[in-house]
Amino acid sequence: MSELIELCDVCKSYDKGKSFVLQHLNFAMEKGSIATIQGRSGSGKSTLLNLLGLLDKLDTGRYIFEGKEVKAGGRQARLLRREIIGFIFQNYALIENCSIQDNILIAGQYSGTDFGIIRHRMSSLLEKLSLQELADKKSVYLSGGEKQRAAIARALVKEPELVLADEPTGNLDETNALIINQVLKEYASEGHTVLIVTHNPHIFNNVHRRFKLEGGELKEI
Amino acid sequence: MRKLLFGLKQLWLGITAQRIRFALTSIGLCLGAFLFSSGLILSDSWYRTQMEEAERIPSNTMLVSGQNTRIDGIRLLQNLEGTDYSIFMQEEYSRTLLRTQLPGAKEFSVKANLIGLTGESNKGITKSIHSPDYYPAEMEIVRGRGILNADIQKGAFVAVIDELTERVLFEDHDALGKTVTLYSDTMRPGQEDLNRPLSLKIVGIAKNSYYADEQPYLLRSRYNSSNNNQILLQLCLYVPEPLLDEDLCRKVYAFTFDSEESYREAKRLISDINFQYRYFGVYSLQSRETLIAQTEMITAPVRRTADLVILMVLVLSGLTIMSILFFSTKDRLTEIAVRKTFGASTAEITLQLVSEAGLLGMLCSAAAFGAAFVLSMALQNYIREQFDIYYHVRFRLHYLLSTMLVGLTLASLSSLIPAFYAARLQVVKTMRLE
Repeated sequence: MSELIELCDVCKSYDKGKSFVLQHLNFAMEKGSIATIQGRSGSGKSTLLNLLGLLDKLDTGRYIFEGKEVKAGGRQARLLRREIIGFIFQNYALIENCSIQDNILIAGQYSGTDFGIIRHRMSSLLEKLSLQELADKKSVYLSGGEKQRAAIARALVKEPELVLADEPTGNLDETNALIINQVLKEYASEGHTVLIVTHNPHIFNNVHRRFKLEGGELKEI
Repeated sequence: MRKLLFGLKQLWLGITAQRIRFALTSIGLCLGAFLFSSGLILSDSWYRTQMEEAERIPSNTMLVSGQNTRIDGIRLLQNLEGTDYSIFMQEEYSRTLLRTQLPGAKEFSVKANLIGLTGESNKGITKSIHSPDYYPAEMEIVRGRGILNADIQKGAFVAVIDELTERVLFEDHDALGKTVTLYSDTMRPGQEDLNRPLSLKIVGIAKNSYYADEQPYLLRSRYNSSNNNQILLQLCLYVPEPLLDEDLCRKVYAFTFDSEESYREAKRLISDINFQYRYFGVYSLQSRETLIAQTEMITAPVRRTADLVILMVLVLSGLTIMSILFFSTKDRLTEIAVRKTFGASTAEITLQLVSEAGLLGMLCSAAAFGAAFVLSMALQNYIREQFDIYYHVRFRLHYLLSTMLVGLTLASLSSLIPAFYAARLQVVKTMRLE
């Protein structure tokens, strides 16, 4: 399998180099693989995910996507976020005054995919995630599990090649956590790449690779 | 198309996301647009009404008027080469129609306007009748007959009234053949023929004049004299010219010329006559151009002042909206961060927020236009009564479009800086704070 993304010798600091969250980190992910990153709170898991999602800039090092270097903040990075990368946030990040349907369609609004196709995909995702009956409900009125399922539907609706999930089961009960686990695994089995940051490695067992982030360094376990 | 509809839906959701912000911004926009629209409608309607009046004079016609002026000058003009026809008319000569004693021992009199008419021409009589709106108009006799030359020559006691006067004086009855009696207002010793009541037989009913649609207002209005005992109704009685009291009337002569050269020659002649008879009183000359220039001169300072006030109000309103939007974008940080995560550029987010404000601006300004239009209509009578400023408000598409354009511009410009500021947020920082 060829590598989809690669981080080479990456350092990241939030206090102008006084202390580093990530230090000389190297990371690569193959196309069609599913991996988890574990680590204690504050170990830099979300920072790593933000860097991989091109939401934040590297202090030093290189970000390589399908063999080509990409700079966060540039046009190329924006295009990747539109088409290739799907995000699932820990706090769901749904727009409260919008319905689930509208929240999902927002992701499709910026992608180049035909809006009819996006709507079709949305219907099947809503069905898969048991959200059809809640489709017109404003997200402010949903439970945590429903919100997270909606956030997953939003991330997957444009069928991104890479899905980055930040603690997708962090606030959920076991039933909901298992549903999400199932959906993400199925998505990876269709040839997409999924990276999950989690506290709970038991939920996401049976993945291709597992990493642990400690002291700014990433180790495969 | 579906994407566009979804985009519009997003705009609307963005506008209404926060009720207090929505209400405050709408109030600011409505106020700005309302003031703009009211100012525009009032000043433009006034200007247009004045201009319409001026433009009703044909370009080759001049109006010569004067009190205590000698007739010789007029005769000279009438005989001038190139004069097609000249018209003599007497303007707003009123006589009392009714005197009555009302409770409180006050005597009230109701007056009517008399409009005399006659046509003189050196190329044959031109059939023409004068409406109470001052200038010659081809008025239609709807029943009976008009005033004939024979009536004019012998000063027959006949009158033509318009439909509205008929309704006011005779309600639903046919006025033809009925008599109206006019009472003299001024008692002049030795001129008993002018002092005695004048009974006139109604021989014709004319179609309502140019201002007929304004007449209901005029009927309601009261022109009170200093001793508060007079009501002047603008009723129109057309009578043969000899019956009018010339001493009291301002005479207006309208001359129409067949060429620009004759027109200029007449102007020169009036200037000469005015110089020659300067001790007796001069003729004032009005033409389409002088009336238009006069209208411009009167209305321009008012319009300029109104423009300045409106501009200041718009700037203030824009600053208020801007400060509201600055606060309101803070409510939408998650939404903006999500959009950026899904690849929206700073320009797209800015456009989204500015479009929301623009859409709200257009909707508010359309509503504000409606309110301003209704208010301008309602104020029409009040302003005329209180300030003697006559204007007629009509719906014009450009009022609505200008108001909407101003609403759009005001909202877009006010939202530009807050939108740009919000669109530049960093997703990572925002999501961490959220």
